[in-house]
Amino acid sequence: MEREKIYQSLKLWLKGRAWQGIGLIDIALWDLAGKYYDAPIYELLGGYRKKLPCYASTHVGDYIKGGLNSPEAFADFAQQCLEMGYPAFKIHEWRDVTPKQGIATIHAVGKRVGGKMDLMSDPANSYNTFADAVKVGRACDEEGFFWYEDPYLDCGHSQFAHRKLRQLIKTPLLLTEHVTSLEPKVDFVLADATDFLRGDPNDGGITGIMKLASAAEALGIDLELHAAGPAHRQCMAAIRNSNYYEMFPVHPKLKTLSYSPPVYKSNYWDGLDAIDKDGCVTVPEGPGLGVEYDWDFIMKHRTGGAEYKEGSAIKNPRFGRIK
Amino acid sequence: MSKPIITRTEVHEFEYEIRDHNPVDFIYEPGSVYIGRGTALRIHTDIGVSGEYVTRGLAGAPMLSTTAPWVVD
Repeated sequence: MEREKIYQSLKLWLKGRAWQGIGLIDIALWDLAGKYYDAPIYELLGGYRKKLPCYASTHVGDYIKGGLNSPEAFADFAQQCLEMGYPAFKIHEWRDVTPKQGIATIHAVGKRVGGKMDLMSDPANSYNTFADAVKVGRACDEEGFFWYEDPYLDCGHSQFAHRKLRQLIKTPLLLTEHVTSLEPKVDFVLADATDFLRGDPNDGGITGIMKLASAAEALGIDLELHAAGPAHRQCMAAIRNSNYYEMFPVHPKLKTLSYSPPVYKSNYWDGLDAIDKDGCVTVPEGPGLGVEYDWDFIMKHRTGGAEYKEGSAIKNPRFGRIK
Repeated sequence: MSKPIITRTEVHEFEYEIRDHNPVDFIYEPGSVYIGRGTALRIHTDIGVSGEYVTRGLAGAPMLSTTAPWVVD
């Protein structure tokens, strides 16, 4: 299949414009390779981790009765997740969160379950200013948070600002979810702008994630994968320097990841109750991704798309495969 | 085993119901029903083995219309 050659050729072609154009194809090619060799992808990658520790990564805060509507509600949910076995819990604050609200939530959760599970804050770039990010980061320091992620509205792009933020707070920063492609992500580390690297197989594929994991390993740091799915599990099983599988988005009122399409025929699922008593998920053991898709459902609900055969591609020698 | 040759790729966009969840703001919204959109990809070879991947969202679909034909051998 020459996945590496395809990866490098598409990288040259797309030049970071749309990495999902590489990522989704790369994952399907790895699924193909696994089926060809009758092995799960993680085995082809040399993987060995059979159980992946998870963090409960919450829905964004809401204002609904019984929901994640207050600092105490987040603390209650963290307690519930701890009792379920989750070793870590990440807060997604409100979209219109104020520093006062965010700080109160970090303290409420920290006071309730701090020291018993790892805690993270991910405002998802909701704070308006750098000063807001510093104020809330200091609350993370007080509660000993494990990481502080994408705090404010630079959208996680400024190396300079996050190097400054690292100088002003103690909590490790997790950036680069919104930085596209391998080299700029690594540049973020080299600029002292993040403590952890972030990547998602959907952006750059399994090939791209394994390159990023190797880059992180060479720098002596960890790569944390964004979101949940079979490709994520297959990758993480083969990455030593990765701490947690992100069970996202979970909520006290929802059992499943309701935003995910119902496309698995096999017994695969992500959701609040998908963990075992140790707070872990397993890695699918079937060939390839290890899941069976419900193509009847997909085709019944199809709204568009195309089929491509030999001769469909643009015949431009500039965009041929690399030598 | 002979080395497989990619003969055909398929890209499908599909819809599904999302209940009690606002997929724009990622908040719990009891009673709500939204239309979610997904992308499905299948890569076929001359030896009958195929590779598949399905994910939520259509973000990758526009670029797949360019890259999916390109991987056919």
